[in-house]
Amino acid sequence: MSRIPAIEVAPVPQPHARRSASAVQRWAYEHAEALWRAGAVVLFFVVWQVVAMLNQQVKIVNPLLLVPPLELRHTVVRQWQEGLLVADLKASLSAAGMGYFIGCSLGLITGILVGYRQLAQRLWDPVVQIFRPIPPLAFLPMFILYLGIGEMTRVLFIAYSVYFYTYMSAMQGVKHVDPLHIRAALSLGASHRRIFWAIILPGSMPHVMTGLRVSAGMSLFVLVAAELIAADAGIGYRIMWARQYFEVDTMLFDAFLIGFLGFMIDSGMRRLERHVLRWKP
Amino acid sequence: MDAPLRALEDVSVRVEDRQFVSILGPSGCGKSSLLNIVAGFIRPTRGQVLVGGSEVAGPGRDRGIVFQEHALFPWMTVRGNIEFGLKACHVPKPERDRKVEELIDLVGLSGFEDAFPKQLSGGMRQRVAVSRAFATDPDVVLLDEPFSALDEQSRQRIQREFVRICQATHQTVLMVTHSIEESILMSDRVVVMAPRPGRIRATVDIDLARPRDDTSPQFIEKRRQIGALLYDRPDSVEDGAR
Repeated sequence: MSRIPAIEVAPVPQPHARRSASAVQRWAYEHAEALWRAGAVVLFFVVWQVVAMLNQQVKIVNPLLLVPPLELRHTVVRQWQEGLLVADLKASLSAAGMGYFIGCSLGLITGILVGYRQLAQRLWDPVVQIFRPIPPLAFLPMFILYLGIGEMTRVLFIAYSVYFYTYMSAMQGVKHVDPLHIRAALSLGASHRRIFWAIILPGSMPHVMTGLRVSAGMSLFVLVAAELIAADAGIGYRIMWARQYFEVDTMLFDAFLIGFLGFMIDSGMRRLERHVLRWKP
Repeated sequence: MDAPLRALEDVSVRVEDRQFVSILGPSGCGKSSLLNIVAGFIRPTRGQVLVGGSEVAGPGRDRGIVFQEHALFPWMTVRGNIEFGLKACHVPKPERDRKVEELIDLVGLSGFEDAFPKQLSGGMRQRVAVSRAFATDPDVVLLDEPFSALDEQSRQRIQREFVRICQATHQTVLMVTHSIEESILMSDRVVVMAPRPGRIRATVDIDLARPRDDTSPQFIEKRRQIGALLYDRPDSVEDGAR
């Protein structure tokens, strides 16, 4: 009787090795997940297109309200030719950019200060914590009352909204710096100034970068809200404007445009984050 | 309310220049507290620490430290970590570069100057930590169970290398450990501590020739002797030896 080994590890011969697979098959196999995702999106738009086209024949709902997605290609051209696309993008991105810059700068400076100095924390943190749970939009009417509906209003409103995210993440970042690193730096003779710049700042970066990325998305989010209510240009304003003229295609196009901007900004921020935190395990 | 806990009682240790002294004890014997007091991270309620005759008032670069979990700055490269202490005391760049290269050579990490700690193995990280502690030419290097987180093979190698480096640089060392083998293998003198409250039970001189062979009869005899002291049970030597 032959004994069966308790454990045996050996390669199993494969009669049908992947010799027959063509280059295309291999590519599809390697990118299966991405293909599924793309397929699902395409399917969604095809169904939408078919339903909208059928509706144009049978008119279950007013065809003005159900726009086939392929119609949007005319919208792009029209908006481009009228110069609205560039003007709106410029208005929106400059307001979002300036608001983001001001809000993040203030958030970082005060957040780091509050994380680093107990006196700063005692004086400033309670004030922030009172305002933080209030949705910033609740203050938009007051912003309009004080500042009118110009660009300044939107910039400052975005700065205000974004401030809380950066502030919180910078403060958390400083508080989460490993005390062991500070001890190590002290034992190497580092001054407090050096410890601040070489240990505390880089050590807080993982939190800070998350805050900056979330804030970037947030700035777009509140920008559109502000433009819907208080603006004379910009993508959000264009959506409101299009409603008055029943231009559902414009409303859809601008909504997708914001989505696209948000996606681009987020992936840009993720790349920046990966680069800044390339040391992170 | 809890009564204040007495962590250490009547502990007196003297480390001669160029000597390698180990503090050996079970967990909870206060050996890490003792090291933290010497490092200047904890102020003792009574007593004093003198390094080269002057009293310790806080952490400083006369005492280099190698921590248990390497404590390298993860956002700095190997070079950045090693030269941190040199930058902190304003050593000019050419001299810094020379010193860093020398240390990297000494611990055998050439070619890894620009690697981040995350790209290194546990043993390599601890070598960088050793270089960092040596960079500022401290009067004494303090080691807090420095190799206990490493795997057996890396540990044995780095223990021997560390002894070699200390001999080559005539470094004075105070090491805290819970491993009897480690203390005998590396040090000139072993201070055995007992817990609750932390106190010194005995001091054993290790006068074996280097490099030491942990299978020699003299080594095993030392292990028996220290094991008996450590566990206070002269009859169960086998337990004592790990």
